[in-house]
Amino acid sequence: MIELQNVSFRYEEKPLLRDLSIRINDGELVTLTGPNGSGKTTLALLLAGILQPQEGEAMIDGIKSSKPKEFEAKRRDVGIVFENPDNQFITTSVERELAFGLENVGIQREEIRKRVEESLKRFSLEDLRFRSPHTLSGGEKQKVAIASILILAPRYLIFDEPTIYLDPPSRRTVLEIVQSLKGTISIIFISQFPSEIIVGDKIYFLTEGILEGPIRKEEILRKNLFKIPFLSFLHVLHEEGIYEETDIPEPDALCDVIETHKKKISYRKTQKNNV
Amino acid sequence: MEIAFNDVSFHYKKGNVRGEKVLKGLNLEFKERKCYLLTGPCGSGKTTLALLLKGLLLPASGKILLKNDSISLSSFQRSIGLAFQSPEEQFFKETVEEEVAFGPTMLKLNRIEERVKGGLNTTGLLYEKFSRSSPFALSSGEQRRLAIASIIACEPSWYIFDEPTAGLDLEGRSKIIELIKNLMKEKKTVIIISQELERFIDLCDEIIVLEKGRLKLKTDTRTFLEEEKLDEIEHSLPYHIKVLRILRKRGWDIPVSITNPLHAASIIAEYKS
Repeated sequence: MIELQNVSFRYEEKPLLRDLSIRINDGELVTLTGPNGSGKTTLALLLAGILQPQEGEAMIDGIKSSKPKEFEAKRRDVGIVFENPDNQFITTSVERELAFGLENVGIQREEIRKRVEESLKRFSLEDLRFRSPHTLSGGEKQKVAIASILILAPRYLIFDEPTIYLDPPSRRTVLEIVQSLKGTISIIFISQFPSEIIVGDKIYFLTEGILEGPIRKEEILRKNLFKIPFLSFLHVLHEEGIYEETDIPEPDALCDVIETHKKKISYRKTQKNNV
Repeated sequence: MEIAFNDVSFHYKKGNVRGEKVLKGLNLEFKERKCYLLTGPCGSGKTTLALLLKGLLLPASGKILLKNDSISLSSFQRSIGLAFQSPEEQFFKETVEEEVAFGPTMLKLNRIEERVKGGLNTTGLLYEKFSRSSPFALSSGEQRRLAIASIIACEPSWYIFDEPTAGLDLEGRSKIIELIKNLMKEKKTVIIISQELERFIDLCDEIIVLEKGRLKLKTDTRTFLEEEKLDEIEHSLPYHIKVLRILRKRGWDIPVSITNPLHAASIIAEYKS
Protein backbone atom coordinates (compact mmCIF):
# COMPACT_ATOMS: atom_id res chain seq x y z
CA MET A 1 0.00 0.00 0.00
CA ILE A 2 1.27 3.48 -0.80
CA GLU A 3 -0.29 6.47 0.73
CA LEU A 4 -0.14 10.24 1.02
CA GLN A 5 -1.68 11.78 4.14
CA ASN A 6 -2.64 15.46 4.20
CA VAL A 7 0.25 16.33 1.94
CA SER A 8 0.92 19.88 0.78
CA PHE A 9 3.60 20.87 -1.66
CA ARG A 10 4.79 24.17 -3.08
CA TYR A 11 7.44 25.16 -5.58
CA GLU A 12 9.17 28.29 -4.22
CA GLU A 13 6.22 30.38 -3.04
CA LYS A 14 3.66 28.88 -5.37
CA PRO A 15 1.44 26.32 -3.62
CA LEU A 16 0.67 23.38 -5.90
CA LEU A 17 -0.87 20.59 -3.83
CA ARG A 18 -3.03 21.35 -0.81
CA ASP A 19 -3.85 18.96 2.01
CA LEU A 20 -4.09 15.99 -0.30
CA SER A 21 -4.69 12.38 0.73
CA ILE A 22 -4.73 9.29 -1.46
CA ARG A 23 -4.24 5.56 -0.85
CA ILE A 24 -3.39 2.87 -3.39
CA ASN A 25 -3.98 -0.68 -2.17
CA ASP A 26 -2.00 -3.72 -3.28
CA GLY A 27 -2.91 -4.93 -6.74
CA GLU A 28 -5.09 -1.92 -7.58
CA LEU A 29 -5.09 -0.09 -10.90
CA VAL A 30 -5.77 3.56 -10.25
CA THR A 31 -5.93 6.23 -12.94
CA LEU A 32 -5.37 9.94 -12.44
CA THR A 33 -6.27 12.75 -14.78
CA GLY A 34 -6.40 16.54 -14.78
CA PRO A 35 -5.43 19.57 -16.86
CA ASN A 36 -1.86 20.50 -17.79
CA GLY A 37 -0.16 22.12 -14.82
CA SER A 38 -2.58 20.77 -12.21
CA GLY A 39 0.15 18.97 -10.24
CA LYS A 40 -0.10 15.41 -11.57
CA THR A 41 3.64 14.92 -12.01
CA THR A 42 4.33 16.37 -8.56
CA LEU A 43 1.81 13.94 -7.10
CA ALA A 44 3.53 11.08 -8.96
CA LEU A 45 6.96 12.13 -7.65
CA LEU A 46 5.59 12.30 -4.09
CA LEU A 47 4.05 8.82 -4.39
CA ALA A 48 7.35 7.49 -5.75
CA GLY A 49 9.20 9.04 -2.80
CA ILE A 50 11.34 11.16 -5.14
CA LEU A 51 9.94 14.38 -3.67
CA GLN A 52 9.40 14.76 0.07
CA PRO A 53 6.14 16.32 1.28
CA GLN A 54 6.62 19.74 2.90
CA GLU A 55 3.60 19.07 5.06
CA GLY A 56 1.92 15.77 5.78
CA GLU A 57 3.30 12.29 5.32
CA ALA A 58 4.11 9.89 2.47
CA MET A 59 4.03 6.18 3.31
CA ILE A 60 5.10 3.01 1.54
CA ASP A 61 3.83 -0.15 3.23
CA GLY A 62 3.32 1.82 6.41
CA ILE A 63 6.88 3.19 6.50
CA LYS A 64 6.76 6.95 6.85
CA SER A 65 8.83 9.41 4.82
CA SER A 66 9.77 11.09 8.11
CA LYS A 67 11.97 8.04 8.81
CA PRO A 68 14.43 8.59 5.93
CA LYS A 69 16.58 5.49 6.37
CA GLU A 70 13.83 2.89 6.29
CA PHE A 71 11.84 4.89 3.74
CA GLU A 72 14.82 5.04 1.38
CA ALA A 73 14.95 1.23 1.28
CA LYS A 74 11.20 1.03 0.63
CA ARG A 75 11.44 3.46 -2.26
CA ARG A 76 12.99 0.73 -4.37
CA ASP A 77 9.62 -0.99 -4.50
CA VAL A 78 8.20 1.90 -6.51
CA GLY A 79 9.03 2.28 -10.20
CA ILE A 80 8.13 5.27 -12.34
CA VAL A 81 7.79 5.64 -16.12
CA PHE A 82 7.97 9.22 -17.39
CA GLU A 83 6.31 10.90 -20.37
CA ASN A 84 9.54 11.26 -22.28
CA PRO A 85 11.56 8.01 -22.25
CA ASP A 86 14.55 9.77 -23.83
CA ASN A 87 15.25 11.38 -20.47
CA GLN A 88 15.78 8.07 -18.74
CA PHE A 89 18.03 6.21 -21.21
CA ILE A 90 21.71 6.15 -20.29
CA THR A 91 23.25 3.22 -22.13
CA THR A 92 23.99 2.45 -25.78
CA SER A 93 21.85 -0.62 -26.41
CA VAL A 94 18.44 -1.96 -25.43
CA GLU A 95 20.09 -4.98 -23.81
CA ARG A 96 22.37 -2.84 -21.63
CA GLU A 97 19.51 -0.53 -20.76
CA LEU A 98 17.61 -3.48 -19.33
CA ALA A 99 20.64 -4.73 -17.41
CA PHE A 100 21.63 -1.35 -16.02
CA GLY A 101 19.22 -1.15 -13.09
CA LEU A 102 20.01 -4.72 -12.02
CA GLU A 103 23.76 -4.09 -12.13
CA ASN A 104 23.24 -1.06 -9.95
CA VAL A 105 21.61 -3.02 -7.19
CA GLY A 106 24.32 -5.68 -7.33
CA ILE A 107 22.48 -8.66 -8.83
CA GLN A 108 24.65 -11.64 -9.92
CA ARG A 109 25.70 -11.61 -13.57
CA GLU A 110 24.02 -14.94 -14.38
CA GLU A 111 20.76 -13.76 -12.89
CA ILE A 112 20.96 -10.49 -14.84
CA ARG A 113 21.46 -12.37 -18.10
CA LYS A 114 18.49 -14.57 -17.35
CA ARG A 115 16.17 -11.68 -16.48
CA VAL A 116 17.26 -9.63 -19.52
CA GLU A 117 16.48 -12.58 -21.82
CA GLU A 118 13.07 -13.04 -20.21
CA SER A 119 12.31 -9.36 -20.50
CA LEU A 120 13.39 -9.12 -24.17
CA LYS A 121 11.08 -12.01 -24.91
CA ARG A 122 8.14 -10.75 -22.89
CA PHE A 123 8.15 -7.37 -24.65
CA SER A 124 9.11 -8.72 -28.11
CA LEU A 125 12.31 -6.69 -28.06
CA GLU A 126 14.64 -9.50 -29.20
CA ASP A 127 15.23 -7.98 -32.64
CA LEU A 128 16.06 -4.61 -31.14
CA ARG A 129 18.48 -5.82 -28.46
CA PHE A 130 21.60 -4.26 -29.99
CA ARG A 131 19.93 -1.04 -31.14
CA SER A 132 20.62 2.23 -29.34
CA PRO A 133 17.46 3.18 -27.42
CA HIS A 134 17.63 6.70 -28.84
CA THR A 135 17.18 5.45 -32.40
CA LEU A 136 13.94 3.58 -31.70
CA SER A 137 10.43 4.79 -32.58
CA GLY A 138 8.36 6.49 -29.88
CA GLY A 139 6.37 3.37 -29.04
CA GLU A 140 9.45 1.15 -28.96
CA LYS A 141 11.26 3.60 -26.69
CA GLN A 142 8.40 3.63 -24.20
CA LYS A 143 8.33 -0.18 -24.30
CA VAL A 144 12.05 -0.32 -23.43
CA ALA A 145 11.52 2.25 -20.67
CA ILE A 146 8.71 0.18 -19.15
CA ALA A 147 10.69 -3.08 -19.51
CA SER A 148 13.75 -1.55 -17.83
CA ILE A 149 11.66 -0.60 -14.81
CA LEU A 150 9.67 -3.84 -14.63
CA ILE A 151 12.87 -5.91 -14.70
CA LEU A 152 13.59 -4.54 -11.22
CA ALA A 153 10.36 -6.23 -10.06
CA PRO A 154 8.76 -3.21 -8.42
CA ARG A 155 5.59 -3.74 -6.39
CA TYR A 156 4.20 -0.35 -7.37
CA LEU A 157 4.47 1.20 -10.79
CA ILE A 158 3.62 4.79 -11.64
CA PHE A 159 3.06 5.80 -15.27
CA ASP A 160 3.29 9.56 -15.71
CA GLU A 161 1.52 10.30 -19.01
CA PRO A 162 3.56 7.66 -20.85
CA THR A 163 1.47 7.93 -24.02
CA ILE A 164 1.18 11.68 -24.39
CA TYR A 165 3.60 11.96 -27.31
CA LEU A 166 2.80 8.59 -28.91
CA ASP A 167 0.77 7.81 -32.03
CA PRO A 168 -2.43 5.75 -31.65
CA PRO A 169 -0.85 2.30 -32.40
CA SER A 170 1.99 2.89 -29.92
CA ARG A 171 -0.51 4.14 -27.37
CA ARG A 172 -2.39 0.91 -27.72
CA THR A 173 0.83 -1.09 -27.15
CA VAL A 174 1.45 0.73 -23.87
CA LEU A 175 -2.13 0.28 -22.77
CA GLU A 176 -1.98 -3.44 -23.50
CA ILE A 177 1.12 -3.73 -21.32
CA VAL A 178 -0.66 -1.90 -18.49
CA GLN A 179 -3.70 -4.15 -18.77
CA SER A 180 -1.51 -7.26 -18.79
CA LEU A 181 0.03 -6.10 -15.50
CA LYS A 182 -3.36 -5.63 -13.85
CA GLY A 183 -3.63 -7.54 -10.64
CA THR A 184 0.07 -8.47 -10.48
CA ILE A 185 1.31 -5.15 -9.14
CA SER A 186 -0.25 -1.86 -8.04
CA ILE A 187 -0.43 0.67 -10.83
CA ILE A 188 -1.01 4.39 -10.87
CA PHE A 189 -1.64 5.46 -14.44
CA ILE A 190 -1.69 9.16 -15.27
CA SER A 191 -3.22 10.17 -18.57
CA GLN A 192 -5.31 12.76 -20.34
CA PHE A 193 -6.89 10.35 -22.80
CA PRO A 194 -10.40 9.28 -21.72
CA SER A 195 -9.93 5.89 -23.41
CA GLU A 196 -6.97 5.30 -21.08
CA ILE A 197 -8.43 6.82 -17.93
CA ILE A 198 -11.27 4.34 -17.92
CA VAL A 199 -8.96 1.33 -17.60
CA GLY A 200 -8.66 2.20 -13.90
CA ASP A 201 -10.74 0.51 -11.22
CA LYS A 202 -10.77 3.87 -9.50
CA ILE A 203 -10.39 7.23 -11.20
CA TYR A 204 -9.10 10.43 -9.63
CA PHE A 205 -9.24 13.99 -10.93
CA LEU A 206 -6.67 16.60 -9.98
CA THR A 207 -7.60 20.21 -10.63
CA GLU A 208 -5.47 23.09 -9.35
CA GLY A 209 -3.93 20.99 -6.63
CA ILE A 210 -7.21 19.58 -5.33
CA LEU A 211 -7.86 15.88 -5.66
CA GLU A 212 -11.35 14.60 -6.36
CA GLY A 213 -12.44 11.01 -6.35
CA PRO A 214 -12.22 8.14 -6.46
CA ILE A 215 -14.94 7.78 -9.06
CA ARG A 216 -15.82 4.26 -10.07
CA LYS A 217 -15.58 3.34 -13.71
CA GLU A 218 -19.33 2.58 -13.90
CA GLU A 219 -20.25 6.17 -13.13
CA ILE A 220 -18.26 7.55 -16.04
CA LEU A 221 -20.51 5.86 -18.55
CA ARG A 222 -23.74 6.19 -16.62
CA LYS A 223 -23.37 9.90 -16.01
CA ASN A 224 -21.42 10.66 -19.21
CA LEU A 225 -18.86 12.50 -17.10
CA PHE A 226 -16.54 13.24 -20.00
CA LYS A 227 -18.15 14.90 -22.97
CA ILE A 228 -16.06 12.78 -25.28
CA PRO A 229 -17.47 11.59 -28.63
CA PHE A 230 -17.08 7.84 -28.13
CA LEU A 231 -18.25 7.90 -24.51
CA SER A 232 -21.28 10.00 -25.44
CA PHE A 233 -22.02 7.43 -28.14
CA LEU A 234 -21.85 4.58 -25.62
CA HIS A 235 -23.83 6.60 -23.11
CA VAL A 236 -26.77 6.87 -25.54
CA LEU A 237 -26.67 3.11 -26.19
CA HIS A 238 -26.53 2.67 -22.40
CA GLU A 239 -29.58 4.92 -21.89
CA GLU A 240 -31.47 3.07 -24.62
CA GLY A 241 -30.86 -0.18 -22.77
CA ILE A 242 -28.88 -1.64 -25.67
CA TYR A 243 -25.54 -1.79 -23.89
CA GLU A 244 -25.76 -2.48 -20.18
CA GLU A 245 -22.16 -3.24 -19.21
CA THR A 246 -19.82 -0.58 -17.86
CA ASP A 247 -16.63 -1.59 -19.64
CA ILE A 248 -15.60 -0.02 -22.90
CA PRO A 249 -15.93 -2.88 -25.36
CA GLU A 250 -13.97 -3.43 -28.54
CA PRO A 251 -16.16 -2.38 -31.50
CA ASP A 252 -16.61 -6.02 -32.56
CA ALA A 253 -17.82 -7.04 -29.12
CA LEU A 254 -20.20 -4.08 -28.99
CA CYS A 255 -21.67 -5.10 -32.34
CA ASP A 256 -22.31 -8.60 -30.92
CA VAL A 257 -24.19 -7.03 -28.01
CA ILE A 258 -26.19 -4.75 -30.32
CA GLU A 259 -27.20 -7.66 -32.57
CA THR A 260 -28.22 -9.83 -29.63
CA HIS A 261 -30.34 -6.96 -28.32
CA LYS A 262 -32.06 -6.48 -31.68
CA LYS A 263 -32.77 -10.21 -31.96
CA LYS A 264 -34.35 -10.23 -28.49
CA ILE A 265 -36.61 -7.34 -29.44
CA SER A 266 -37.77 -8.88 -32.69
CA TYR A 267 -38.31 -12.22 -30.88
CA ARG A 268 -40.48 -10.47 -28.29
CA LYS A 269 -42.45 -8.78 -31.07
CA THR A 270 -43.20 -12.05 -32.85
CA GLN A 271 -44.22 -13.57 -29.51
CA LYS A 272 -46.62 -10.66 -28.94
CA ASN A 273 -48.02 -10.95 -32.44
CA ASN A 274 -48.59 -14.68 -31.99
CA VAL A 275 -50.51 -14.04 -28.76
CA MET B 1 -5.91 29.98 -55.83
CA GLU B 2 -4.49 26.48 -55.85
CA ILE B 3 -1.14 24.92 -55.07
CA ALA B 4 -0.24 21.66 -56.75
CA PHE B 5 2.36 18.96 -56.13
CA ASN B 6 3.48 17.52 -59.43
CA ASP B 7 5.27 14.17 -59.09
CA VAL B 8 7.13 15.44 -56.01
CA SER B 9 9.71 13.20 -54.29
CA PHE B 10 11.91 13.96 -51.34
CA HIS B 11 14.71 12.29 -49.39
CA TYR B 12 16.75 13.53 -46.46
CA LYS B 13 20.52 13.28 -46.63
CA LYS B 14 22.54 11.37 -44.07
CA GLY B 15 25.88 13.13 -44.27
CA ASN B 16 26.59 13.08 -47.97
CA VAL B 17 24.66 9.89 -48.51
CA ARG B 18 21.19 9.96 -49.95
CA GLY B 19 18.68 8.53 -47.47
CA GLU B 20 15.59 6.57 -48.29
CA LYS B 21 12.84 8.48 -50.06
CA VAL B 22 10.28 9.81 -47.59
CA LEU B 23 7.94 11.12 -50.29
CA LYS B 24 7.51 9.25 -53.52
CA GLY B 25 6.01 10.75 -56.68
CA LEU B 26 3.32 12.77 -54.96
CA ASN B 27 0.55 14.30 -57.05
CA LEU B 28 -2.05 16.38 -55.25
CA GLU B 29 -3.44 19.87 -55.00
CA PHE B 30 -4.74 22.13 -52.26
CA LYS B 31 -7.49 24.64 -53.04
CA GLU B 32 -8.08 27.83 -51.11
CA ARG B 33 -10.81 28.16 -48.47
CA LYS B 34 -10.92 24.46 -47.78
CA CYS B 35 -10.02 22.47 -44.70
CA TYR B 36 -7.82 19.41 -45.21
CA LEU B 37 -6.93 16.67 -42.78
CA LEU B 38 -3.56 15.14 -43.60
CA THR B 39 -3.18 11.81 -41.87
CA GLY B 40 -1.26 8.53 -41.99
CA PRO B 41 0.96 6.45 -39.70
CA CYS B 42 4.17 7.75 -38.09
CA GLY B 43 6.92 8.16 -40.65
CA SER B 44 4.53 8.35 -43.61
CA GLY B 45 5.88 11.78 -44.59
CA LYS B 46 3.19 14.13 -43.26
CA THR B 47 5.51 16.71 -41.72
CA THR B 48 7.86 16.57 -44.71
CA LEU B 49 4.91 17.37 -46.96
CA ALA B 50 4.10 20.39 -44.76
CA LEU B 51 7.70 21.62 -44.92
CA LEU B 52 7.68 21.34 -48.71
CA LEU B 53 4.38 23.17 -48.92
CA LYS B 54 5.76 25.99 -46.78
CA GLY B 55 8.92 26.08 -48.89
CA LEU B 56 11.26 25.16 -46.02
CA LEU B 57 12.35 22.12 -48.03
CA LEU B 58 12.72 21.86 -51.78
CA PRO B 59 11.59 18.80 -53.76
CA ALA B 60 14.38 16.41 -54.77
CA SER B 61 12.45 15.85 -57.97
CA GLY B 62 9.11 16.98 -59.34
CA LYS B 63 7.58 20.44 -59.01
CA ILE B 64 5.37 22.50 -56.76
CA LEU B 65 3.20 24.83 -58.81
CA LEU B 66 1.08 27.81 -57.84
CA LYS B 67 -1.94 28.42 -60.00
CA ASN B 68 -2.14 32.16 -59.65
CA ASP B 69 -0.48 34.91 -61.68
CA SER B 70 -0.40 37.75 -59.20
CA ILE B 71 2.10 36.29 -56.74
CA SER B 72 5.24 34.16 -57.02
CA LEU B 73 5.44 30.71 -55.45
CA SER B 74 8.14 31.71 -52.98
CA SER B 75 6.34 34.79 -51.67
CA PHE B 76 3.13 32.78 -51.40
CA GLN B 77 4.96 30.09 -49.43
CA ARG B 78 6.43 32.73 -47.12
CA SER B 79 2.91 33.89 -46.30
CA ILE B 80 1.72 30.44 -45.17
CA GLY B 81 1.40 30.16 -41.40
CA LEU B 82 2.91 26.93 -40.10
CA ALA B 83 2.46 25.86 -36.47
CA PHE B 84 5.02 23.24 -35.54
CA GLN B 85 4.29 20.28 -33.32
CA SER B 86 6.62 21.38 -30.50
CA PRO B 87 6.06 25.11 -30.03
CA GLU B 88 8.74 25.47 -27.36
CA GLU B 89 11.31 24.85 -30.08
CA GLN B 90 10.31 28.02 -31.88
CA PHE B 91 10.33 30.55 -29.02
CA PHE B 92 13.29 32.80 -28.42
CA LYS B 93 12.00 36.15 -27.20
CA GLU B 94 11.82 37.21 -23.56
CA THR B 95 8.14 38.11 -23.39
CA VAL B 96 4.96 36.84 -24.97
CA GLU B 97 4.36 40.26 -26.51
CA GLU B 98 7.77 40.37 -28.23
CA GLU B 99 7.34 36.80 -29.40
CA VAL B 100 4.04 37.56 -31.15
CA ALA B 101 5.35 40.86 -32.54
CA PHE B 102 8.40 39.21 -34.08
CA GLY B 103 6.69 37.70 -37.16
CA PRO B 104 4.78 40.79 -38.30
CA THR B 105 7.84 43.00 -37.64
CA MET B 106 10.06 40.79 -39.77
CA LEU B 107 7.46 40.77 -42.54
CA LYS B 108 7.41 44.61 -42.29
CA LEU B 109 3.67 44.62 -41.68
CA ASN B 110 1.77 47.59 -40.21
CA ARG B 111 -0.47 47.81 -37.08
CA ILE B 112 1.89 45.62 -35.03
CA GLU B 113 0.32 46.34 -31.65
CA GLU B 114 -3.17 45.67 -32.93
CA ARG B 115 -2.00 42.40 -34.48
CA VAL B 116 -0.32 41.28 -31.26
CA LYS B 117 -3.45 41.97 -29.22
CA GLY B 118 -5.66 40.33 -31.85
CA GLY B 119 -3.49 37.21 -32.08
CA LEU B 120 -3.34 36.75 -28.31
CA ASN B 121 -7.01 37.43 -27.66
CA THR B 122 -8.18 35.13 -30.47
CA THR B 123 -6.20 32.25 -28.97
CA GLY B 124 -7.55 32.95 -25.49
CA LEU B 125 -4.26 34.22 -24.05
CA LEU B 126 -5.55 37.52 -22.71
CA TYR B 127 -3.19 40.34 -23.62
CA GLU B 128 -3.46 42.07 -20.23
CA LYS B 129 -2.62 38.87 -18.38
CA PHE B 130 0.08 37.32 -20.53
CA SER B 131 1.87 40.03 -22.53
CA ARG B 132 4.73 40.42 -20.00
CA SER B 133 5.15 36.69 -19.22
CA SER B 134 8.06 34.66 -20.52
CA PRO B 135 7.04 32.19 -23.26
CA PHE B 136 9.00 29.54 -21.39
CA ALA B 137 7.02 29.99 -18.18
CA LEU B 138 3.72 29.08 -19.84
CA SER B 139 2.03 25.69 -19.57
CA SER B 140 2.23 23.43 -22.62
CA GLY B 141 -1.32 24.31 -23.67
CA GLU B 142 -0.59 28.02 -23.39
CA GLN B 143 2.65 27.58 -25.34
CA ARG B 144 0.78 25.89 -28.15
CA ARG B 145 -1.69 28.77 -28.23
CA LEU B 146 1.15 31.30 -28.18
CA ALA B 147 2.72 29.61 -31.20
CA ILE B 148 -0.60 29.90 -33.01
CA ALA B 149 -1.06 33.52 -31.85
CA SER B 150 2.31 34.42 -33.38
CA ILE B 151 1.07 33.05 -36.66
CA ILE B 152 -2.37 34.65 -36.50
CA ALA B 153 -0.66 38.01 -35.91
CA CYS B 154 0.76 37.76 -39.45
CA GLU B 155 -2.81 37.28 -40.71
CA PRO B 156 -2.04 34.60 -43.29
CA SER B 157 -4.82 33.18 -45.39
CA TRP B 158 -3.29 29.67 -45.37
CA TYR B 159 -2.56 27.78 -42.16
CA ILE B 160 -0.82 24.46 -41.51
CA PHE B 161 -1.18 22.90 -38.05
CA ASP B 162 1.19 20.01 -37.34
CA GLU B 163 -0.39 17.77 -34.67
CA PRO B 164 -2.04 20.78 -33.01
CA THR B 165 -3.53 18.86 -30.09
CA ALA B 166 -0.65 16.52 -29.20
CA GLY B 167 0.21 16.76 -25.52
CA LEU B 168 -2.75 19.01 -24.65
CA ASP B 169 -5.42 18.43 -22.03
CA LEU B 170 -9.14 18.26 -22.78
CA GLU B 171 -9.68 21.98 -22.37
CA GLY B 172 -6.60 22.84 -24.42
CA ARG B 173 -7.75 20.55 -27.20
CA SER B 174 -11.26 21.97 -27.39
CA LYS B 175 -9.85 25.53 -27.44
CA ILE B 176 -7.65 24.67 -30.43
CA ILE B 177 -10.59 23.10 -32.24
CA GLU B 178 -12.72 26.17 -31.53
CA LEU B 179 -9.95 28.31 -32.96
CA ILE B 180 -9.69 26.28 -36.15
CA LYS B 181 -13.47 26.49 -36.55
CA ASN B 182 -13.25 30.28 -36.35
CA LEU B 183 -10.49 30.38 -38.97
CA MET B 184 -12.73 28.37 -41.24
CA LYS B 185 -15.61 30.79 -40.69
CA GLU B 186 -13.25 33.51 -41.83
CA LYS B 187 -12.76 31.55 -45.06
CA LYS B 188 -9.14 30.68 -44.40
CA THR B 189 -7.46 27.63 -45.85
CA VAL B 190 -6.54 25.15 -43.12
CA ILE B 191 -4.38 22.04 -43.35
CA ILE B 192 -4.39 19.93 -40.20
CA ILE B 193 -1.83 17.17 -39.74
CA SER B 194 -3.08 14.66 -37.21
CA GLN B 195 -3.58 10.99 -36.47
CA GLU B 196 -6.53 11.81 -34.27
CA LEU B 197 -9.27 11.36 -36.84
CA GLU B 198 -11.94 11.39 -34.16
CA ARG B 199 -11.18 14.98 -33.26
CA PHE B 200 -11.06 16.51 -36.70
CA ILE B 201 -13.17 14.38 -38.98
CA ASP B 202 -16.28 16.56 -38.79
CA LEU B 203 -14.29 19.76 -39.38
CA CYS B 204 -12.62 19.01 -42.66
CA ASP B 205 -13.76 18.97 -46.27
CA GLU B 206 -11.16 16.53 -47.50
CA ILE B 207 -8.97 13.81 -46.06
CA ILE B 208 -5.53 13.03 -47.42
CA VAL B 209 -3.93 9.77 -46.37
CA LEU B 210 -0.21 9.16 -46.78
CA GLU B 211 1.33 5.73 -46.41
CA LYS B 212 5.08 5.14 -46.61
CA GLY B 213 5.58 8.38 -48.53
CA ARG B 214 2.90 7.68 -51.11
CA LEU B 215 -0.52 9.20 -51.55
CA LYS B 216 -2.94 6.49 -50.53
CA LEU B 217 -6.16 8.44 -50.66
CA LYS B 218 -7.44 11.96 -51.21
CA THR B 219 -11.16 12.32 -50.99
CA ASP B 220 -14.04 14.11 -49.29
CA THR B 221 -14.91 12.95 -45.78
CA ARG B 222 -18.07 11.09 -46.77
CA THR B 223 -16.40 9.01 -49.49
CA PHE B 224 -13.48 8.38 -47.15
CA LEU B 225 -15.74 6.82 -44.51
CA GLU B 226 -17.49 4.69 -47.11
CA GLU B 227 -14.14 3.29 -48.25
CA GLU B 228 -14.07 -0.52 -47.88
CA LYS B 229 -10.44 -0.98 -46.90
CA LEU B 230 -8.53 1.65 -44.97
CA ASP B 231 -5.73 -0.67 -43.81
CA GLU B 232 -3.26 1.02 -41.50
CA ILE B 233 -5.48 3.92 -40.53
CA GLU B 234 -8.57 1.81 -39.89
CA HIS B 235 -7.73 1.78 -36.18
CA SER B 236 -7.66 5.60 -35.99
CA LEU B 237 -11.26 5.89 -37.14
CA PRO B 238 -13.67 7.24 -34.55
CA TYR B 239 -15.11 4.51 -32.34
CA HIS B 240 -18.73 4.97 -33.46
CA ILE B 241 -17.70 4.81 -37.12
CA LYS B 242 -15.86 1.54 -36.52
CA VAL B 243 -19.08 0.20 -35.01
CA LEU B 244 -21.21 1.41 -37.94
CA ARG B 245 -18.76 -0.11 -40.42
CA ILE B 246 -18.79 -3.50 -38.69
CA LEU B 247 -22.60 -3.53 -38.52
CA ARG B 248 -22.80 -2.78 -42.21
CA LYS B 249 -20.36 -5.60 -42.97
CA ARG B 250 -22.70 -7.84 -41.00
CA GLY B 251 -25.51 -6.89 -43.34
CA TRP B 252 -27.11 -3.85 -41.72
CA ASP B 253 -28.48 -1.39 -44.22
CA ILE B 254 -27.15 1.80 -42.59
CA PRO B 255 -25.03 4.78 -43.63
CA VAL B 256 -21.49 4.79 -42.23
CA SER B 257 -20.44 8.36 -42.99
CA ILE B 258 -22.00 9.80 -39.86
CA THR B 259 -19.54 12.12 -38.16
CA ASN B 260 -21.77 12.91 -35.19
CA PRO B 261 -21.60 10.09 -32.58
CA LEU B 262 -25.01 10.92 -31.06
CA HIS B 263 -26.62 10.70 -34.46
CA ALA B 264 -24.87 7.35 -35.00
CA ALA B 265 -26.19 6.05 -31.67
CA SER B 266 -29.76 7.03 -32.54
CA ILE B 267 -29.50 5.33 -35.94
CA ILE B 268 -28.49 2.12 -34.16
CA ALA B 269 -31.22 2.50 -31.54
CA GLU B 270 -33.94 3.01 -34.13
CA TYR B 271 -32.74 0.38 -36.61
CA LYS B 272 -35.16 -2.44 -37.35
CA SER B 273 -33.67 -5.55 -38.88
